[in-house]
Amino acid sequence: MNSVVLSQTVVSGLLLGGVYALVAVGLTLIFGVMKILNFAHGDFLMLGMYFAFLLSIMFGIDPYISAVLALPLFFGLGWIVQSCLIRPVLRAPENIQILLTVGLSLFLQNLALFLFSPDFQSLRVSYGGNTVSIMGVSISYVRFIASMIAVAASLTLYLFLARTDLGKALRACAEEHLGSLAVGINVDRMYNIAFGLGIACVALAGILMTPFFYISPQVGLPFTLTAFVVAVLGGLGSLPGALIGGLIIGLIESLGELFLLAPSMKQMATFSVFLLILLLRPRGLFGGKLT
Amino acid sequence: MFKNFFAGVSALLVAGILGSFANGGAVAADDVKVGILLPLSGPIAPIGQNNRRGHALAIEEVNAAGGIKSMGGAKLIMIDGDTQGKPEVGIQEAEKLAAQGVSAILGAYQSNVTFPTTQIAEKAGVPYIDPVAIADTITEGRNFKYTFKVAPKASWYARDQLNFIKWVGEKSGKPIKKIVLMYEDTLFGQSTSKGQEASAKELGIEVLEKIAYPAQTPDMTPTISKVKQLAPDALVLVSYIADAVLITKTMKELGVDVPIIGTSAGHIDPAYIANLGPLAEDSFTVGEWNPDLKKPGAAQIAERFQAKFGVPMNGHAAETYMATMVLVDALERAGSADRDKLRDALSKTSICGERNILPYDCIKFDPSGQSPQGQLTMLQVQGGKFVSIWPSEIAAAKPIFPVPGWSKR
Amino acid sequence: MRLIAAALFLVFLLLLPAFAYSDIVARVMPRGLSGASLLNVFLLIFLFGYLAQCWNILGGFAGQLSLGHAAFFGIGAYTSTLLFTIFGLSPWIGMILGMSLAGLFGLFVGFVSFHYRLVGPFFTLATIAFAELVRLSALHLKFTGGSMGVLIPLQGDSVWQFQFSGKAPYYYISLFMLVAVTALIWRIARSRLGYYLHAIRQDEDAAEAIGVNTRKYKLIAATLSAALTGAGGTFYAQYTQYIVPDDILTVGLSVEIILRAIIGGSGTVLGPVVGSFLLTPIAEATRVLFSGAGSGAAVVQLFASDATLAKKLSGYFSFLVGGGGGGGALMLYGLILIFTCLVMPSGAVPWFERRARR
Repeated sequence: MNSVVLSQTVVSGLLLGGVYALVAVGLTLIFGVMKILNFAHGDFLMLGMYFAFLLSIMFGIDPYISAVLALPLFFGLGWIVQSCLIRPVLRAPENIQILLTVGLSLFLQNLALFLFSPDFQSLRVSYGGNTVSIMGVSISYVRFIASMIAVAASLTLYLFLARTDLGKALRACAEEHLGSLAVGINVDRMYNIAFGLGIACVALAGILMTPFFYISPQVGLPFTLTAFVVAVLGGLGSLPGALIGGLIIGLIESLGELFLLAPSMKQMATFSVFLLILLLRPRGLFGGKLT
Repeated sequence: MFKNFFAGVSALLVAGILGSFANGGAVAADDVKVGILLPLSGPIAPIGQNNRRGHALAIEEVNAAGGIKSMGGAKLIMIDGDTQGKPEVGIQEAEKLAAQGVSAILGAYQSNVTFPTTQIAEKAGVPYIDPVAIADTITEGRNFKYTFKVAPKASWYARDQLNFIKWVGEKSGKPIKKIVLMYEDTLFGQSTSKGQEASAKELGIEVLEKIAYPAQTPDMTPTISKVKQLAPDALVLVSYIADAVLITKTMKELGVDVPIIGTSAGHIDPAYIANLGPLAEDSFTVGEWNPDLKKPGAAQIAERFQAKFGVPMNGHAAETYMATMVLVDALERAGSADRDKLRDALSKTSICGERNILPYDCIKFDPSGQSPQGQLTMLQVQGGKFVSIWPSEIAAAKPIFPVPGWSKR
Repeated sequence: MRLIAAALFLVFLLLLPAFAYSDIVARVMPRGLSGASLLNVFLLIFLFGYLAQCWNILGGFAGQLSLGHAAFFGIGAYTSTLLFTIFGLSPWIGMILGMSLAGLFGLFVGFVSFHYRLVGPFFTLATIAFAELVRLSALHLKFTGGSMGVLIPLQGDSVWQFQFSGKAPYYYISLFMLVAVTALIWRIARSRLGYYLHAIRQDEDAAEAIGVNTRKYKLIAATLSAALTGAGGTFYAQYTQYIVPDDILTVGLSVEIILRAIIGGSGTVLGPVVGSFLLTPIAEATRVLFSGAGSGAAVVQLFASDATLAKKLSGYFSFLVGGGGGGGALMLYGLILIFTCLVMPSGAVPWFERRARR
């Protein structure tokens, strides 16, 4: 096994892992604050991708600019979804909560299918193929930028939660629902914010991937599943867990592709890890707290 | 109360179910309905749409020239069945086409869709003409009476491709001794790679590694780095369009200077050049046909195709065009759109010489349904276009080999 | 009263194949389709109703939300199909073996999950993980045919080999399966098992506290649910004569199964049946009326072109009206599911019953 091939594999795993981390951060934030598992998470990623795609082909807007535009938009979308659809079922049995987000996922996937057709689209940027070579390892610009921004966004969110007052309020809701109500925190608004932030994160992750990933209505489901694996691995409700978990899963997938008999078996490795965590250490690496 | 409720609900249900069918739709009785089964949407939609063009051009020309003369000028009506690139959808669409009374089905581009849908057609007694899908198992060992395969066998693709590889290496003084074989893991890739491995062995070319990858995979960096490390003299690929483009891009990103030798499908698609631009230069591929071949009639049809659709005609479109002509020829001889009479006429097909633009003499069908003469050509992307480079007797240009490195493109 | 209406409906269903091929139906059918398509729709209604009922045992009565039932379906289908194509074993026997294997897998999944105390969303996630592993295994193991699946060769009409050239025999078999499993559910609901499951579903800890062996009964529900689902898999394989992982082992299929049960009313006897009669025709109707997905590439080109905004919008509008890119039925399902969760979480049947009682 050539060391260059190995380093190349490790690097590409870490890069992809950074993006996985951002996807999972959104999911884990929502779960941490509201205790809801958002089965439609990956579909918001898909919507983010189509948003960037449409802006690109209609107005020629660069995806990184679309990303900035997308943040407030998708935050707002998350806010609305939470108010209209999620809030009514927060008191309902868990199964109903799951089913609601499953229904949302089904709707969003097929809405995209209806509006955009199942054809794979790709967003072409002029710098899409550029790479930089460091010690024999070739790193693609766009994957590198995606990963860096993703990690930066996750860290920013972490600092927000740890240092600001609003962040503290969110953490309070996550840890102690009744207590937060008692001290006058507008828990309802916290939920809206948490969901909005979660959706904004995952849409951003999707847009960051558009320069190198194909776009299709069904692209969300594999990411939803990966987000679950990462979030559970890191510990549901823990942001640092999602970040570390993302990198780990990215590595497992990449190394799996290299070492397993067929590249396509890397998914089996991921799901096996997932099951082991669920069964043996469901609280994951970092246990339950947001920060 | 309960009985009212139940009666009401039952009535609603029945009305709803039957109502969902209340929609008329009639086609003129004399026209011949032709079912076209193709992946018109989904991941390989561009290829499906391109295949469809060959059918469309042939049908339009035949109708404009007066339709099927032996049937009093009956026109051909094309009915689309979109398989979305999936076998299970293809099966449903094939059943739908059969239920709609088509006289024949042409399709389905992909081997793994053609394989089960030919069985549906056999069961329904509908003649099924396969213009492009190559897997050997479509005709081997099945004893089907209604399947007619114009496409050459996968093993022949392998045979001709490996023959070319040996020839071009020797001719240029840089013999190709070791190759890596990468193929997508559905029926197309699996059956073709078997043939390629066997032919390579016969010709004394070493296969360093056989790598099966999942079609439509998003990232192939680890696999391509492995290829770089193996340093073969050539990379032989069996891919559809999305993977073909991704693999070439990844090879450029990682600086893997190995000649790319594709096996039609993704590598012969105009979208390959459109998507990759200069990166597509010097890629080789097996081709079923090319407009610049020295075969009478080829250039004229290519011109009409280009004029109508604005894109160059490629091997798939030529195959679907000729397959439609096979159907027309059989209809003329049968004098009827009856499925069984059509089937009998098809089995006696013999379209030779100037009437056949494909790079061999005659289109016929042996008892298993396979067209026995099949010769493939090799193409290379030169100057942003596919040019034919082999066999030398009918090729228009010479191959560029060895291939310049990525830094020069 | 209620029984008479149900009996009449049943008689209608039993006699349908006799009418299906007649002239009246042929004239009503759209796009020149035949009576066989009509039978096909009903057959799918029966099959999905059957599968939803099987899920109902574990998901409805025991309250354990499984999103991995496609795995049991697939195991049943692959077992009988591979035994037939490799050893020539009659699919009827294969069905029994398939049911056993599926049931065993259900027992395994249940045992592992309940032993490690997975509840609620964690249980659901585990079922998804198990099901995905089954799907990935089918894709990669050589003898399962990988991504090309397994094709059952044509044998003509043969009862022993579970193959028929017409649709009517399949129609009756699936109708029988639906009626039989509904009768089984009816019996379970009235039995001690049913009461235990009800207690577990309402409040597992309380049930445990009053001495119900919750682990044992959940396992029974899981095994039974899985085994019966497996039988559905064999039927499907024999009907379509082609099985492939991307069709029968996906999360999407699991979702389609539970949709009928949830919307009709999970935990009720008739819920899954009503759910299937309500939902399945929608999917079939849209598939029939819209012939294939519109060309997305053409739309993209239109939008990227220099045409006026009005032209782009009108072009897009006609694309949508023609069925867009497909997915219309499933979009509707998603909305119905959301609606059900918000407005009538116990499903249509209990909702109607409550209304009828006022």
